[in-house]
Amino acid sequence: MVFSSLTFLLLFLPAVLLVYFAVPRQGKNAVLFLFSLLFYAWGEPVYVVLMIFSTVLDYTCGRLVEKYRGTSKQKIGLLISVFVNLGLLFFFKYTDFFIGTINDIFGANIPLLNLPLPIGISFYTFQTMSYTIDVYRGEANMQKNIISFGAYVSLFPQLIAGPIVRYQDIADQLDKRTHSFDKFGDGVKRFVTGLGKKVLLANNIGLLWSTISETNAASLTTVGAWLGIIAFAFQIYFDFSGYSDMAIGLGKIFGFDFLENFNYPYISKSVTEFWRRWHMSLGTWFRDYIYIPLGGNRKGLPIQIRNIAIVWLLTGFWHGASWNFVLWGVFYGVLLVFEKLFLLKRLKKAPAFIGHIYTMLAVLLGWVLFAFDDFGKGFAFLKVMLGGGAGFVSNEALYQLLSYLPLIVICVIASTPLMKKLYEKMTSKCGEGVLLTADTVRILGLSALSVAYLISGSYNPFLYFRF
Amino acid sequence: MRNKVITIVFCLLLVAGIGASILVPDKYYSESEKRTLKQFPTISLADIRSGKFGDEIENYLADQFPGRDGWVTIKTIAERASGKKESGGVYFADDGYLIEINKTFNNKQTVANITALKQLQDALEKKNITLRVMLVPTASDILAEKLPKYAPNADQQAIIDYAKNQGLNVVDVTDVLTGHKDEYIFYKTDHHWTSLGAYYAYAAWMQAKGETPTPLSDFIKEMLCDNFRGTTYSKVNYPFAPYDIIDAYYKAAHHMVDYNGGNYVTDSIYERKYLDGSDQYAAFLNSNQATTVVSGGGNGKLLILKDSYANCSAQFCVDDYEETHLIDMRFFRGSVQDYIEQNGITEVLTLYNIPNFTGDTGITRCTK
Repeated sequence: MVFSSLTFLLLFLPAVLLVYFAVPRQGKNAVLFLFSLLFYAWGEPVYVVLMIFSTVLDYTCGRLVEKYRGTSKQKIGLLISVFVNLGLLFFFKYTDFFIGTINDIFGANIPLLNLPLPIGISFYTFQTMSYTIDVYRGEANMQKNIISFGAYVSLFPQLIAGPIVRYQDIADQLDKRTHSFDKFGDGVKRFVTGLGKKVLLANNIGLLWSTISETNAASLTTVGAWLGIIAFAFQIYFDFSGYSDMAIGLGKIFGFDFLENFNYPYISKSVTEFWRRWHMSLGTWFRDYIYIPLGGNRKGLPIQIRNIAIVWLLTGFWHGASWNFVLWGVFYGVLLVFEKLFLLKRLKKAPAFIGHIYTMLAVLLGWVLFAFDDFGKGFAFLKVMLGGGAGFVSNEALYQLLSYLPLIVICVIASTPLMKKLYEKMTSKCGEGVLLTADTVRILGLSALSVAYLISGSYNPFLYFRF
Repeated sequence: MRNKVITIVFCLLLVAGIGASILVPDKYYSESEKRTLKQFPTISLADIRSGKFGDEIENYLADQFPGRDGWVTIKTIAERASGKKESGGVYFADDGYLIEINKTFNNKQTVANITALKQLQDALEKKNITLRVMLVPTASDILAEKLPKYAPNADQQAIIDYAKNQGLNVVDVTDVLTGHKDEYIFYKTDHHWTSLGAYYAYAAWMQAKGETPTPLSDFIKEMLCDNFRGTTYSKVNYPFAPYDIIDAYYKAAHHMVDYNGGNYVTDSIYERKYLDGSDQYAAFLNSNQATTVVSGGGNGKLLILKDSYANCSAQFCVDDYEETHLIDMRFFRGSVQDYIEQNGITEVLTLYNIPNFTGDTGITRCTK
């Protein structure tokens, strides 16, 4: 199930809210666990078994770690957890990729498994691993209650597309968290904002991208290609950050405080800054569980560069079982090393707009690598962007530009903290009545428009399903 | 305080959504979309396991959402406000026209259809029966200047040219329609041509045959309705769209009409019961039937192989023939050549609008 569906908004959400707030405190995690399993099973009835398995396994591993702490066997639980979780991820996500690669290289003909990818497996395997690692490192206490642990693993708000919540960040909230109108109201505002980002911005600008990406590179023009990749950049940002907003908002409604996942990445002045603002929970995960254990930047520059290389190869690969994602990761790894070595110093001295332009060009180039599984198509698209297409501009590109210009302007504004700052200013200057009216209008307006689009548009694809 | 109110508002929204969904009874058919709506899916273990049940619930909720048409209206207004020049496959063109979008045509099907018609034309020629082909350009071609600036628009003339090059006996009505493009020859809210547009094409066809068309003033003009909002309106539900007028033109008020070989026999080519519904164009020859036979006072037997564009063309020629037969290849399953033989057809006209022609998969059966 996805949040931006009528099934979720009309049936699931009212049901889970009703039951959750009706049962006493001790039962709340059980309610979350059961509803989360239902949420997951809605689209993937078979793979829910996998999720239950993962829950039991890591719960047991946590116990093993505690039991053998201080003995020679203390690593057993940790190793089992890491191997099994990575094993699951590799089996379901990467087996066909490796078979395909082996077939390509050796001309072999090993049949593919053709398994559908369990939704959210990239997210929840990372979360369950974080639990065992945190317990092993003593950064969190072992969870004795398997229901509470199950609620953490399967927590539906962030189950499918993150943010990736480290266990240590919500360990305390699992057992005691508070619910209040204040949190609920904030959660509603956040959820509706995210819904609007996804349904109104991402889906609509995504239509432009899908039109352009389906155009044959031979008839695509330079303006069309740039328009297309800009549309993709907005689509992926509003899709993903909208989903995170909905997750964080729902979390608040149920009393959780998740960490932020996006912080206006498109206003960055360097690629280093971009990755501090984009999918922050993934960056944090790789930093805490890979980069720093490998020595981080404490063992001299060569080791640091090696560590950056490893993290970015893995980051690329995590995004999808295809070589273009690896290349995308390598691309960012190289840029980040360059920035670390000399570029960042120079960017700081240069006027801010140079940093902005450089970063946006790098990010857009990155999205071209990201968007095309097929290298041939990706490079053909790139060639068109650099002027090697069917001319500079066509009637079709002009039509698209004119039709989408207002939406693109809205997307640009929504990518900056402008509205947030305005709202904060309003909060400090206006009375309660004005603020209440503004909030209510915003919630009703965004909900109504989103529902109108959901009902009339069959076009509601969800980008992060493949991860 | 503020968050308390927001919490309550949100919960009320959820309650309203669920309450309306339960209280408003499910509909079977959508008038404005011309299709049956999804009903609550039957529960089966296999469907639940495959995830199909979940998809069906989602489609069911979307189809049965209370005030569905109103929500589509909200979306269309939002699209217009955001500067979009199109919505749901329709261009917002000048002068209130809602014009169906045709960005590309199915070339493979077009070639197959034209090849099949050429085969039929050759076969009939041996029997001294002339087949003429009228491929009618639609509003997006004739009224192209009304489309939004730079709007992508497939080239309908290329289809006519191709048909001519392949040796089809084409009656090209482009010039005559273009010559009258400032008159009311296309509906503003429907993809069909008006009776007036069909008359000009009828005249061009008569001239191509070397005959004199009946002057328009010889027909009795009757307004069938003035509150018509057709297919392109249905796609957008745009409340500010204009209403269209449907006119009938006839010499004789009554004709014997036989649908589908005696299935339904009536005394008028206008099926007036449709005028009370939302699909008023269907009043011409009772929507789309597999076979229709209209008796007139003239000589010879005409067969029209057609789509719905011909439904309002027929009114101009039914009195020129003893019988006018119409076959809709989408529904007709017999052999066209046998039909011609058995009914003593003396002349054949193929009449389609171009976008429809390029996508129709029934035409190729005419060689059977």
